[in-house]
Amino acid sequence: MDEQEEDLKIRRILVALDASRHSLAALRAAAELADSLEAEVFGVFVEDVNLLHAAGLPMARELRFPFARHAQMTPQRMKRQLRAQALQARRALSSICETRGIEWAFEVVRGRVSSSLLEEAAKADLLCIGRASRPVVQGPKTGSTARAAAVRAQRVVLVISQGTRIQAPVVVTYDGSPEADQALLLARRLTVETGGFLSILVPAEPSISPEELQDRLADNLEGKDIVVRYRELAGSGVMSIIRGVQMEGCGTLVVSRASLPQDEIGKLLDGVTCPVLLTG
Amino acid sequence: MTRQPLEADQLRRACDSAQFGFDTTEELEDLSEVIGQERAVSAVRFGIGIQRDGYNLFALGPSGTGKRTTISQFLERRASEEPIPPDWCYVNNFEDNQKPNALRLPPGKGIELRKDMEQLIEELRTAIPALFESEDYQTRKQELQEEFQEKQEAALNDIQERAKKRDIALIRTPVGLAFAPVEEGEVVSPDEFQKLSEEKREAVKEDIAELQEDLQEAMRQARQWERKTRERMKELDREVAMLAVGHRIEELRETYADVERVVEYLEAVKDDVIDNVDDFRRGGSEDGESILGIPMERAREATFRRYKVNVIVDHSESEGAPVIYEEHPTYNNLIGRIEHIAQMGALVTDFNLIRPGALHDANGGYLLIDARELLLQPYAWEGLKRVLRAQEVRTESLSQALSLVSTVSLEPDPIPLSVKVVLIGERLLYYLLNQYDPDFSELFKVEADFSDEMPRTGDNDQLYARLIATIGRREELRPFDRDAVARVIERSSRIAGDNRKLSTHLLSIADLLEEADYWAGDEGRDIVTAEDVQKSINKKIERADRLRERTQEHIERGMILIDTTGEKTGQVNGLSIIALGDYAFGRPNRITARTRLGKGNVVDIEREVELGGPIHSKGVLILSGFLSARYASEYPLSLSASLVFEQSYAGVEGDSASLGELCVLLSALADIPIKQSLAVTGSVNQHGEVQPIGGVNEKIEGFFDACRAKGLTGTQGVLIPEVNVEHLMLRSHVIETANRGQFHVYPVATVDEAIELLTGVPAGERDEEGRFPEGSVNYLVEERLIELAQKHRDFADGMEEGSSEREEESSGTEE
Repeated sequence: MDEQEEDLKIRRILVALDASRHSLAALRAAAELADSLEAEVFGVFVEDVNLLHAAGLPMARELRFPFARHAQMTPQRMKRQLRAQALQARRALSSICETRGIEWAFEVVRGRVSSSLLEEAAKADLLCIGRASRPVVQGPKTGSTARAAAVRAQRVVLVISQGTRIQAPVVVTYDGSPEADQALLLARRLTVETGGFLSILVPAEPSISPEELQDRLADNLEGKDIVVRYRELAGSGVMSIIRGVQMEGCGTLVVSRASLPQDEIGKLLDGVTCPVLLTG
Repeated sequence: MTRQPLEADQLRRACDSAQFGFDTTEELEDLSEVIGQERAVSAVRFGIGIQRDGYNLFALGPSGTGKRTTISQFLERRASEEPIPPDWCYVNNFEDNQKPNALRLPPGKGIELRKDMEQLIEELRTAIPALFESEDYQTRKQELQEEFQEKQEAALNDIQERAKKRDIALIRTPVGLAFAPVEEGEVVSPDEFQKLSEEKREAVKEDIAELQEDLQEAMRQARQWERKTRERMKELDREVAMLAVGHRIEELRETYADVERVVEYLEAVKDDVIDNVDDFRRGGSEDGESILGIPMERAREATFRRYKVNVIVDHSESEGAPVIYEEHPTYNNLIGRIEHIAQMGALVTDFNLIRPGALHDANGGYLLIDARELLLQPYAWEGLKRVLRAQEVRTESLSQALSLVSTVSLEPDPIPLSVKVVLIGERLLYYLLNQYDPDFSELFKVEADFSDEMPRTGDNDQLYARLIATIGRREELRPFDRDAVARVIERSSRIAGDNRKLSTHLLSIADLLEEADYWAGDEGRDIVTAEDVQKSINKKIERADRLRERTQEHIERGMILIDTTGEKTGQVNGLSIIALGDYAFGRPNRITARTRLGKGNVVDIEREVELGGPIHSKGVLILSGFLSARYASEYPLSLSASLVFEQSYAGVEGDSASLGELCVLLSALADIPIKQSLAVTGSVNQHGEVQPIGGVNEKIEGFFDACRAKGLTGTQGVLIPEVNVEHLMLRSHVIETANRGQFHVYPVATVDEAIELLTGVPAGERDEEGRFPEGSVNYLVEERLIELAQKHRDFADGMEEGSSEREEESSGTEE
């Protein structure tokens, strides 16, 4: 393990659990990563204070699935339901971690979901989160919590959808910045683990000269027994990355948060279906 | 006049080999038809020819008479000229898979349909996934999904937007959706809500109530859209499936256009494939993938079993109508069976597991069954009758047929039956079935009675020679020379027990030929000679005659008391037969009689100790009738006689000893000794006429052997019924001895002839005054009987006088 990899050391993986199918995909990905990175998995379930508030309102009623019937909401009932979800999440975590022999822990916190998660994420090296919790409308859109985590967490964040997993080919955007080096390092590591090739997307206008960029890439990849493919993007915006990802048949996308404007991150997450790893 | 012994040439009807115009049987042509079975052959022709209900055949006769061979030959000849019956298949009934459909197809088409269906399904399993993976399909499906999602999203977005404008959020609860007032993106807590003005709170409540109604309506609407989308997607799937299956089925419909039921079946297959297109869409699974322990691949294959074609009758290689011989006619082997396979601990079945029985195979042709085998199998006879009555084969398990189980099983379409059944069996079985089974005579109206003998004529001798040639060629034996053929014919007469008959027991003849061929080979000969035939006969007897030899030894050593010389009163040599399997031999038996004053009864000691059978007893009782009628018609028969078969410890049956018993009784009455050099066999009636008996050859040979063992004197011989002369086929040793005058066979027609020969004293006939000549046997018998009657009367008078005196004495005493 070289110096750079030591910097990237991931020992504690936090996974946001809410018993949704997306969060179960996040749990599976967290377990796989923990397995290969020899890390621990911490599951956190946030009891949404908004739900408790809503249940405490005098006109609190909900329209229940699947028959669209109205029913009274009460704080007690809401707490029971949340506890049940937390228990479900804990079971899923213990089952998957114990099968793989991974150390794990589970915690239930109460608060606003996004802020609670960001607080918890500060204690971890990597946050795994489902693309959306349980959306009102089924679609490719990224939920607000995942979006907030992707933008605001000061850690590596994996956003993943139901039915996907971390797999080859790993695609990474590289513009020569030091943050991009971090992303490349993680992408290189994942390529070794997944056993495919590494696809490097180079923006049309990198921050450094093409020669310098080549040299830095050569330095980063020297002596690593992996197959690398380069693709120069038509532009430097999010849309060109999305197109590049689609053309590469991306398995997992690694991208540096710093290389994108904050308001573009959500668009990127909405634009791709594969798991996305956002580095610092 | 005393009867003279038979000439040597009367003791056996020799077959003159000079009558044959060949050197060996190699020159003879094969017989095209069975010989000596004209009646049976005519019945078989009739039975096969008549095409009416119930005209099935029962071929009856002793085993080994060629019933099966004859019938098979007939049937195969006729079947080859008859049309090939149709093929039959079982296919799935897509409306009710517990009731598989039977399909009738032209001969050979069953296999073709099976291959066509296998190919069809194989093609569909490739073509359907390909179509469903095509971009066109995926695009159309995506379009439908997006259309639905757009509508749903639009409806919810509209509600969300309207809510947002009123500072209300649509939130997802663990089990549904709810509205709540928000402030800066967060739900207003209950405490804060309470702080709002009454008016404001009411407004929020009303807004939420309104939104809830709208949401409910939107969700109801969404469900309808979803259902419609699902229907449209299903319709799309059907369209795509139709694209794959439609033209392929159409091609098959054209191929089988002339078979209506197959066309209907293909149409049902098309509909089923379309309805279950998902089964075809799934690709291959990864190794080890399973559902409830069943490997996915196997589970998938099981779903395609319903498109298979189970050909139960295939005539693709048949020529003519089928002729089936069912060796093991169990219920299942006749009717067919439904097999089961174990699946997840349960036994399951489907139409592919219907197995045909012999009746399916023989449908449109002929089925031969051994009647004895059939009757030995539980329910097989009942099953066969039911099928013949219904004229259709309904395959069901025995437990179903007997209603022993009520689990769900298959009820396949019955298959119409047109079959001629030929049962082959012994006569006894035929007569028993006829007597005790009322269905039998309705279902088996033709009896083909196979005889076990045929007349021995010059023409038949020639045919018999050809029969020997035919069997020889079939069994790959050496050729027989003409003397060997003659010897076989003589042996055949001996087997028939009649020198005017030939045996049609082809099994015995075939055995004789095979064994003669063996001995010819043993001698290094290329042609079988009379010597080989004789050797095979001798060896066969030798293999079986341990008991005969032992009996003769006992006679020779005096353990069985038989005199073959001298004279004795009240003692005669009778003859009996001991049958062991298919071998029988004769032996002499000493019969003795004792007489005394009595009430006119002849005591049969055999009967008294229950060693005599009813026929034997009948023979003995006839003797009383004869004695009474001939000698004591005018005075009481005051005789008491006892008759015994000396040293007989097993049962005695038959009346062939009654002549001997009568003679010994006359000897005892007349006090005239009987020549022990003679033995006697024959039955006698009340008039003293001698009647024929069975096993005459064995009996003569039995006494001959005893005489030879104890020493031939030239006076020895046997008395036989005159009628039995026609049955004489004695072995050559006896003939040779008779030819030298050392042994004699006397035919007798009456008891008088017999007693004359046995005693050497004339029997005597009544003169005009009704008296027998003095000194004759009859005279002495009558005298003795009169004497006994007189004694009886004297005795009775004495008794009467004694009684009167006693009465007088007793009345005097009383006085």
